[in-house]
Amino acid sequence: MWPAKYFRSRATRLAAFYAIFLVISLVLLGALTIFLVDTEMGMQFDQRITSEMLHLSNIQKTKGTEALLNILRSQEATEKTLLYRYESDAHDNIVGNFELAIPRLGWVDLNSELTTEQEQPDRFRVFTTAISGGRLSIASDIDEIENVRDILVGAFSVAGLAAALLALLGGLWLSRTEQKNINQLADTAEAITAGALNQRMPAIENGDGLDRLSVTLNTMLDRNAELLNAQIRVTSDIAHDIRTPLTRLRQNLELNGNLEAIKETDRLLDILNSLLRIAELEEGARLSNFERVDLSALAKQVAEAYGSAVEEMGRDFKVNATRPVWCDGDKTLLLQLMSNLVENIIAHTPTGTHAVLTVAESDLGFSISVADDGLGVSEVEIAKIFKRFTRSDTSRRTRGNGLGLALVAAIAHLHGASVTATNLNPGLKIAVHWPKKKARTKCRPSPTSDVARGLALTNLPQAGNA
Amino acid sequence: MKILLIEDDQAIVDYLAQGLRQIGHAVDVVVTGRDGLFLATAPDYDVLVIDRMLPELDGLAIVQTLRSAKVQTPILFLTALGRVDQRVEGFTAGGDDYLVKPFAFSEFLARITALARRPPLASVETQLMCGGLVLDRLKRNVTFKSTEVELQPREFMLLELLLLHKGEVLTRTMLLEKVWDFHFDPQTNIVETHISRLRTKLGSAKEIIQTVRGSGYVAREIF
Repeated sequence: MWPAKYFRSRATRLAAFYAIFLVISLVLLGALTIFLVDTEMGMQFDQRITSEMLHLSNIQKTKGTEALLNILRSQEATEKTLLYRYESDAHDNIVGNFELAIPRLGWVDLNSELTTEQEQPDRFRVFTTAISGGRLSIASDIDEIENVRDILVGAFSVAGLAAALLALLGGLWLSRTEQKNINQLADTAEAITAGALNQRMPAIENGDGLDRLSVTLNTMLDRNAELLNAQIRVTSDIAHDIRTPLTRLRQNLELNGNLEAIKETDRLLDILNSLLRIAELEEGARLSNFERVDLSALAKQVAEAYGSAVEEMGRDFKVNATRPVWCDGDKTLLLQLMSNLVENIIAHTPTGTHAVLTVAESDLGFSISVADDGLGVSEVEIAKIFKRFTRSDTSRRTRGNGLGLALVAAIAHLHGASVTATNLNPGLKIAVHWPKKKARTKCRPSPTSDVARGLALTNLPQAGNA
Repeated sequence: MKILLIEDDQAIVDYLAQGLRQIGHAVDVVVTGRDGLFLATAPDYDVLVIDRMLPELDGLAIVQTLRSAKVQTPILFLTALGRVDQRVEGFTAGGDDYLVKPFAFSEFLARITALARRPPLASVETQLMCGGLVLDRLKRNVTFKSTEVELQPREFMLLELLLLHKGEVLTRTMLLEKVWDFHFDPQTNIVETHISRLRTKLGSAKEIIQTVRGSGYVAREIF
C-alpha cells in the first residue's frame, strides 16, 4: 500500500504521468511497427509469388504445358514455402500439392480452406492466373507474418509493462526521497520556530531545487541570527547601561532617604525588568531550563501564596486543580505566569469578585485558566489585551504596568501554548492552552498519579481566621 | 567581617564600601578581574562580592578558577545580567548568591550577612530556639512555652528560615525566593500577608518576628 501522501506528492504525479506517456508512446510505436512489418512482409510474399508465376508461365510459353507440369511435380518435393496447383480448364488434369475448391483468378486469402499433404499451415495467400489450357495457382504460407506480429506484440507489451513499472518505482523512490528532504526541512523549521535558533537546514545533495532552497534558507537564517544577536547585544547593553546608573540613582536616593523617589525608581526598574524578560522569552533562549513540572501543584502553590492576600483585598478566590497535569516547562516562568493571572484579578476586578484558577486536562489538551465574574473588558480591548502596555480604560487609574498579560503570552508561547481571552458576561476568562500531541511539549498524567494530591475546589483559608 | 569587593564601577564600589565600613566591616576593593582573582585566593575573607562584567577577567571565570582551586569562601555575584539562565550560569560556576543591579543597600547587606554566617553543612541544627519558641525541624512542629502552635507548611518554612538566620535581616526578595520559589517581583504583598498571619498564630510570641522598615524581617530574642 502506498500512503496517500505519496499521491499528493509532485514527484509521484509526475512519475505517473510519465509512465502513462511512456505506455502510450510504446503502444503507438508498436502499432506502427506491426503495420509496417505486416505490409512489408506481405509485399515480399506477393513479390515472390508473382515472380514465380512469371517464371512458370514463361516456361509454359516456351516449353509447353507438360514441361510446366513436370516442374510442378518436382517442385512439390523440394519447395517448402510455396505451394503449386495446376488445374486444366476441363478440370480433368490437376497437378499440385494443395486442394483448392474454387480457383478464382487474382489474389485470395484463405484460412485453412485448402488442404495439402504436408502439415497444414493456417493461412495462405493464393494467386491464381489463367494460362493457356488451365489455371495456375501459387499459394504462400503467410502464417509467418502472423508469427512475427505475435512476437512484436509480445515484445512491445513486455517492454511497455516494464517501462511503466520502472517509471512508477522510480517515481515512488523519487517521491520518498523528496518527502524525506521536505520533512527534514519542515522539522528543522519547526524546531527553529520553537526556539532552537542555532539549528540549520540539512545539506541536501541531490542537485535539484531543494538543495538550493536549503542553502538559501540557511543564508537567511544566518542573517536573521546575526540581527537577533545584535538585538540581544543591544538588550544586554541597555540592561547594563541603564541598570548601573539606576543603581547609583537609587543609592543617592537611599542616602537622602527619599522613599517616594526610591519607589518610583523601583517602578521604573520593574518595567525595565519586565520588558527585558519578555524580550528574553521571545528569543526563546530559555528552553534549556525545561523540566517536568506538575501544573496542578504549581497552581496550588500560587493559590496558597496569594490566597490570603487576595481575600484580604475583598475577592473570593478558589483553585480547581484536582489531578496532576504534567508538562515540560520552566517552573519559575510557569509560576510567574500563574501569579500574573492572579494579580490581574487583584488589579482589574472590583471587590466582591469571585475568581477561579483552573488546571484542566481533556482530549483536546490541557490548560491553565482564570475566570472571574467582574467587569470584563470591551470587545475592542479584548483583541489587544495581550499586547504590551495595554491597559483598559477602567484600569488606567489602578496599579500595574500593562505588561502582566504580555508576559503571560510570552511565557505561554515559549511553552508551545496559546493564550485566549473571552468575555463571560459578566467577567473575563484568560486561558493558556496546550494542544494535544505537540511535538515539543508532551504532557500526560503521571504514572504515579497520586489521587490524594488532588483537592477539588480547595477553599483557601479565610484571612485572619486562625 | 572581612569583605572583598571586585567591581569596576567606582560609584557603586564607593557607596558599598562606605556603607559596609560604617557598620564596622573591613572592606578591600579591586577594580579588575585579574587583581580580584589574586586577592580572592587569600583565606581571610568572609565574603567575596564579584561583578560579572569586569575588565581583564570575567567574573564567571574568576569564580570557576577559585572553586577549582578549592577556595570555599562564600561568593555573591553582583551584576546587571539578571536573566534566569545567567543566574543559573552563576550558580553553576560556584557562586552562592546572586544580586541583580540595581539593589537596595539593605538587600545587599542582608545577603552578604546571610552568606557569611551560613552554618557549615556538618552541624545542622534540628531544633531552632528563640525567646521560648522551639521549632523542631525533624518533627516539623513549633511549640511556644510547651504549647503547640499550628502552622501551615509555608508558614513553617517562613519561620524556619527566619530562625535559621536569627538576628539577620531577611529581605522580602530573599523570602520570596526561598519560601515560595518566586524568582520575580510580585505586585502583591504576599510576604507581608503571610508574616501577619504567622504573627497572629504565634500569639504572644509574635514579637520575635520584627519588621525592619524598608528592608525586611528579622527574628530576635525578646528580653
